[in-house]
Amino acid sequence: MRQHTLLATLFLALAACSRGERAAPGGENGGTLVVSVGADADAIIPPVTSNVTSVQIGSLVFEHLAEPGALINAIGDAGWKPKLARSWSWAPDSLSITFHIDPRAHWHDGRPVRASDVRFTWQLYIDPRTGSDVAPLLANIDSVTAPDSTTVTFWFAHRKPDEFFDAAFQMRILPEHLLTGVPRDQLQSSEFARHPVGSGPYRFVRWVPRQSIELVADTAYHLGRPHIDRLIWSIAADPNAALLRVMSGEADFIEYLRPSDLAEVAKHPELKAVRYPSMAYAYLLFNERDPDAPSRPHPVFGDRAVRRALTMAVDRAALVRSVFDTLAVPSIGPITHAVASYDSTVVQIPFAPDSARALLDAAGWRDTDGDGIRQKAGRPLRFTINVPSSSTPRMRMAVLLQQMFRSVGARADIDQMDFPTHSQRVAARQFDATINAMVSDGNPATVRQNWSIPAARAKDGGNAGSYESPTFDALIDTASTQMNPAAARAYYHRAYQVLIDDAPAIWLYEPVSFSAMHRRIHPVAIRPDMWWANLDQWYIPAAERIPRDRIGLADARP
Amino acid sequence: MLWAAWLVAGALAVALSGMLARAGRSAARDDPGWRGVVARLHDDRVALLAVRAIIVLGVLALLAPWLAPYSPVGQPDIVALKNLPPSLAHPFGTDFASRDVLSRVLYGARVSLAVAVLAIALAVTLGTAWGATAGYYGGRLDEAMMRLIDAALSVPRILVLIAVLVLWGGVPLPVLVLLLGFTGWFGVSRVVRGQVLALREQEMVLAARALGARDREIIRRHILPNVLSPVIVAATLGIANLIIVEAGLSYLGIGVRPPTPSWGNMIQDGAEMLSSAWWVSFFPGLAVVLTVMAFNLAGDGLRDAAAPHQVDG
Amino acid sequence: MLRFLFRRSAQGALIVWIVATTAFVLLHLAPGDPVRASLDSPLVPESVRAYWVGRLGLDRPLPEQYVRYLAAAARGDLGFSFPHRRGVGAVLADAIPNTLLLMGVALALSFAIGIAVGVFQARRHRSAFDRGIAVGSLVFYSMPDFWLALMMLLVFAYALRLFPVSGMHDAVMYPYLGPWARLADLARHLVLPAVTLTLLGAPAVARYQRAAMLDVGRADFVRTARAKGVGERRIAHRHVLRNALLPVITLLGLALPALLGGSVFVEKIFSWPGMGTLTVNAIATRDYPLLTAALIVASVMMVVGSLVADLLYALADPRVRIT
Repeated sequence: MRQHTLLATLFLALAACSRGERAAPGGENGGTLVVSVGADADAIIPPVTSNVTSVQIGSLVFEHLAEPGALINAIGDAGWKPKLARSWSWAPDSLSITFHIDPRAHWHDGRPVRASDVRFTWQLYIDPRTGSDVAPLLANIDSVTAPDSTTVTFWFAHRKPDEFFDAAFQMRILPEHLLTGVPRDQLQSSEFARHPVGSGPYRFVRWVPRQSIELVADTAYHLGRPHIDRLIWSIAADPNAALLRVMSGEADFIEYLRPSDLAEVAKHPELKAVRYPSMAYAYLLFNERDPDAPSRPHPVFGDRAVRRALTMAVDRAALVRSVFDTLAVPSIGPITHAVASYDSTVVQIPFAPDSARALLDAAGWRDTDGDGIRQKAGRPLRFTINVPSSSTPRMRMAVLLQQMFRSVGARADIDQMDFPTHSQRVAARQFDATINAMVSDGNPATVRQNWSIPAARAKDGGNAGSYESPTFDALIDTASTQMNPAAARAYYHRAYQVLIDDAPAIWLYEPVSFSAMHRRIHPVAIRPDMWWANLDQWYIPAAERIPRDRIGLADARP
Repeated sequence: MLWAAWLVAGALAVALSGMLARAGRSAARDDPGWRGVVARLHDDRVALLAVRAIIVLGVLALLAPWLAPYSPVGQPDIVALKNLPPSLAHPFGTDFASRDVLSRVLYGARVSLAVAVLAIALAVTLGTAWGATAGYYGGRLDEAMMRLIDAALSVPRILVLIAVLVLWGGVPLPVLVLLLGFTGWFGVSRVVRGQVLALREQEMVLAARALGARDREIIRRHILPNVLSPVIVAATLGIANLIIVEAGLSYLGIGVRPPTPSWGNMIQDGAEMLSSAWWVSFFPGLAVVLTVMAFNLAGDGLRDAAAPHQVDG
Repeated sequence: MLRFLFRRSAQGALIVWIVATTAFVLLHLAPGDPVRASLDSPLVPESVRAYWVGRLGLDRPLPEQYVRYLAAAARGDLGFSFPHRRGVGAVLADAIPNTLLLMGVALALSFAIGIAVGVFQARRHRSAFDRGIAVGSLVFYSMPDFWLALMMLLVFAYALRLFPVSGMHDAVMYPYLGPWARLADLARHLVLPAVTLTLLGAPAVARYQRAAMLDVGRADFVRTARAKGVGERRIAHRHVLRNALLPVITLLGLALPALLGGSVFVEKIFSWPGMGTLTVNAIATRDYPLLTAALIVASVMMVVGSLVADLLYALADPRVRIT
């Protein structure tokens, strides 16, 4: 073949030599999916990265022992499907779970996956030198044993309903034979992290820094060949450009559409928009401690009545409608629709500006000098809202909130800062109020990390607003040890009600995930926490393919 | 009421423009001083137009509270009135928070112009002081001072600004002005130094020195008045540049903080809705381009008028 | 000549050292550090952060860090970029060629077009052509760069679909293309950012060139030549153009640092994987080693640029002799 082949000839040639493979049930094999993303990966090795692109690539190259169904269930193993483990069994005392590794499972270099790889992975995750942020979540795993090459047993310290979740979902299994010689503290910068070898449905092919990352289907994958031949992450530094790539046909999929993009996508008949629930929610968090003197309560937000009054001043339905149109719903608390413990019967603080004014009057905040801002003992009702400038919805919310607070006599100043500064100020508790976003991991017991007393008092604890309620903590503790889902639900309901009545935050919005993709892409079972979780089952029907689908499994030119 | 305010503004602009014209007619073209510059500027129709545009702009910014039909921060109905296209009620449309874009452009002119003018005043003061000192004393001092300027100029200004604004996070408006001023004077100091270096050897300075005048006196009496025109030219062009810089920083979300309108953060407000609500960032963008053009043209005109036969190189 | 080069090199080294030191000190005084910015999840135990802070030496006293940094930099080791999980040298080596390509093309076009237009304008001084070009170039000259880039992207890549939206290569096909097709692919991706930068740069050059031509045209030696009966065409080429190129050469020297510095906004909007976006990301992720290195690269280019400008100046102007 001549070197300077024209693009078109190349497509034809590739089409001619693409093998006619048997169409799997529910889909046909072949095609190329180009994903438009806004950030390059950092290290593609699951325990040490939280970079979203690295996580996406990592979860296609590496596998969990088992995967949850559409509703993320952290209690027991209901709805969970085999992945690297073919099956599992619980010990009668529920203190250990034994997984049986699928004997067909293999690493992409051809070696079989063994039980010792699982044990190695656990040791690697909890090694402090690795520095994995998952390590604290594995605290309940006491030890891992591998009695034979396909059997691995997890032993737990305490009997808890979420122990299966911890063992199956928190870790992605890594190859012992490739990582055993790599110093744990150099995993991040290791050669492996740039050329990962896993056991998942897709093999890593290449990574052009800040441009693209390419994966190809592992046709011998133990759970059946993934349908789409080739996955390419196309990296754009600018959100506008990332979207335009999809609109102009250069890419096939973008995860996150902004409300203003809705109309634009509708103008493109070759695109379709797909909605699915998300695990994210955002809220205006009040700091209940004085940021300058943490031993004292916050001069404004230390008072529950003031927090409740400010909540009543906010028309959350209008806020969400204005910023998101139909792409979000008002949030009701630290839970989202996609979490099993979601409970819409929790009573909310209503939008009632007149009651808000009355409540503030009663709390001693009055506008005595007629400037429109209330005072109490010479201190104006004034505070700062921190927002990360990377998030347009949160910036807009802040501007709208500012005006709503003003209408009840409170003055809010907006402090926009870049994302790292924002996180750092939250962690250091240097804020009056801040708009935070949280992604739930599906385990309702995780709310403790953000709202419990220990998390408020620990250095660097996640309860940055220092909300403290022994009642709430007790209810969550009881709920999280219930092995019966209905009983757990009842206790969670009561816990949420206590939290919401105390108004430690104004619950703002829960976005609906809204992705755009090319019409020929047929997604299967998009999961709310990770749209890419079942990407190996997506397919592109042969009749709808476009030229780039015909590359197939061929290798690139040198 | 609104119409009356606009009438007053128009009259004010015409009056100021007329004053400029009279000043130009009354002076002689070959007057070496400031009056001559104004007179020569009068021959340059384009530059004159630009100066008039700047006057109009200044009047609009000054009278914004009376001229703006709505409050620049008011949000009458964040659901029903957001992102409305231009109409009689809202000639420039409304933005995402249902605020009137025309009113915000008018108020934004105050912020954008004030930031640029104050920052350039600071920059020019610093640059003149530094450049005059280096140029007048010369020698090792000059060498050291100019090497520092070289070092400062070797780092792209936009990077310094982004770094400081991002790393220290959420700076208030006065600090932004200081920052723009402190990073903007290096070029001016070079220009001034060059000018002073040439002036230093001129007869009047030599004569003054021979008569025993003190350095400070010489710099104030003889040198500074003569570097005034290049400094004013640099300042005019610098304002144009600063308006663009402010817009760029606000586009990155690190410039003027909301809800205060500046042209830059208004462009940012609409940047992601360009295809669905173009008016939100088009009008502030247009304001930036026209204003910057006016300042550039005025600066060019001033340069020609100030040094009619100057040969570079 | 040698003495001149030596003196200038010494001055240059001094400038680079001032920049490196200032950057180092300021960045270490700034709140936040790369480890905290990257491992920002509250789930990351404090011990993990402390471990990385120790490994990268961020817990040492500032003077010690500074000496270590200078010593390593002198050996060519610019440090470790934590957010990229790679050495700073490797990260720079990926970005520099990309920026060099984009800015090289843009600068060449800006100067070629700018000089040509400026000369043409000066020859038809005050004609309709001159005025038309002057207004047109002033509009581009007065446009914020990000704004022009956004417009170019929307019009030519999105509405008209004449060029790819962004990036450097076709993410899908590039690895499968032959060398010529790869070149064509690269060229297609280069058009929009390079044209945007040219539209921003050429007007400045043209304005300079035009003004210089007019100034020189009024100079005594040109009048003399004209009085001696030398033809207008010959005057324009031999006398005016050569002398009028001098200020433009200074401008070229000033523009050279952009070859490696890149353009923050244009690179960002067109997702060009160059130094501009790299540096801005380094700020956002508190990647101080990378940021310091980028600033050092910028100042080295500045020093080289002004040296080149001086040499070119001497080449073009027989009156200047380098000693």
